[in-house]
Amino acid sequence: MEPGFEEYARAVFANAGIAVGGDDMALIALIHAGYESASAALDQLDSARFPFEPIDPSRAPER
Amino acid sequence: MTAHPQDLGLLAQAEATRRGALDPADLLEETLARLRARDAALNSTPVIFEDEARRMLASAPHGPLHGLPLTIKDMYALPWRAARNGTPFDLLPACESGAFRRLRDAGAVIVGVANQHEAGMGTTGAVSAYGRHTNPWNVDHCPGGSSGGSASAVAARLIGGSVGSDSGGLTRLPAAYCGVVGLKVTYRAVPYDGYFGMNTTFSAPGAFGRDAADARLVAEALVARPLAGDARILRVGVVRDPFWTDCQPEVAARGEEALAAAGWSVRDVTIEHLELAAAALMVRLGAEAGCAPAFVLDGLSPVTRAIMLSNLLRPAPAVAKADRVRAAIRRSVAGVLDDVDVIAWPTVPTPAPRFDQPFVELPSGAAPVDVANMRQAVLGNVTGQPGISIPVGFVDGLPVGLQLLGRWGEEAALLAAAAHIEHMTAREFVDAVPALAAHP
Repeated sequence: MEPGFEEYARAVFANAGIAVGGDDMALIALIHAGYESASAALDQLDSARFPFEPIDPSRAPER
Repeated sequence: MTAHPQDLGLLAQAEATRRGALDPADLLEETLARLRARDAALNSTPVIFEDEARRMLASAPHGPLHGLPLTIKDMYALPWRAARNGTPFDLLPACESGAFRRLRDAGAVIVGVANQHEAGMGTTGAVSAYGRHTNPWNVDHCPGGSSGGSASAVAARLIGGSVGSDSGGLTRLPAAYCGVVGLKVTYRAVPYDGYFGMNTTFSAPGAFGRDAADARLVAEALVARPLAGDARILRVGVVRDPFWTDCQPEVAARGEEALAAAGWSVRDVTIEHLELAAAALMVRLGAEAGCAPAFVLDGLSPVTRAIMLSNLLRPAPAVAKADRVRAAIRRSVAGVLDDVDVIAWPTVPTPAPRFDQPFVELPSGAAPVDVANMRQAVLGNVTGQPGISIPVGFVDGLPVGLQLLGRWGEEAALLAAAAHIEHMTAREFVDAVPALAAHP
């Protein structure tokens, strides 16, 4: 987990008016680690070959 | 009639009521009685609407589902009940949800709420405000999720059909675990008002039935159009790795046997960036679903609460990255489906695990149940295309399924394919009855 993650997370939750305990933070850190792994995996896509394009998920995909 | 009407499938119930051999009022009362008598070990249908169901029947139009009892997942608002999404809270106010309107207009009678994994955030059914629900093939094993109550009740012959939802395989996975047919319809094929899945671009309603014909009846009502098709000749694409190679070998074998029995032409295909589909869904879905208010969080299980809280921490640039991947995968799948009619792979990598088994053993090693299941399931949610799980056999006494992904709006082809497999396997797997449901 990157340095300062817990402080950042606690600040976000405090701003949202949500009290979190130590058990919460342990689970959140675990889930966030999975998220960070997923996010890092997304960097594998070659952005030159696949530039950002808007998606309309209510329309059929086209090749 | 001498047999209990819920020992008939939904289509047989419809035919019997049409020809006057089964009185819809008797069907309803017998169904309510069976739910009361037999659901204790399953907890598939924790809320039953006796009065509301009788009122629906009294005014039911003579549509294709006239007088047929169904259950519906807790993600849909009903005129007399808010959608709670497997939590203790009224999350969407009571109203006529789009799915409810479609079912009512087809003549259906809603008899109860199908149990589900809490907040739709799990593939086991182990956690719910109504208590965990179980698999009728072995109540020590999970029914799948999040639409586990729908699959469990249909498999146990408590109800002929049910409506679930699917944001990450959540109709197809429980269908496979419980040995029934589960169809995820195309994204937005049903009006989304009053549907909790409206908060994501990955979710779609799901239709459950014991076989393809029963699921078709439910699905036709949901999408409000006929779904007849013919799948005797079909071109099937398979993505070997990881969908087939990283499953329990016996599970993959059941799928291979079903494809061989169907007699279709099968060839290997490649979907670019498939390995990133689950990551894209995780990032995007978390951002879309967001976090419940504090008073709701306080009433949730620790894991669901932590998932929701962690959604508050997602940096916006990650969503753009996820969308790039999603766009690339959608293009690739569209290209593959120009050359084949469906893409096929095992719905679940293993049979339903025990409740006390948080990991499943795959050829690649141990994996958390949800992670392994989502990997098999999310492609249809990322692209929005319809998908179906078809019962194709048993492993260790528990059902497993074959999943087919079809073209946009082509639910009919998937249902026809399921019917063809049933026919070519002599209905061995769709007519199998769990011991729990076999006694008179």
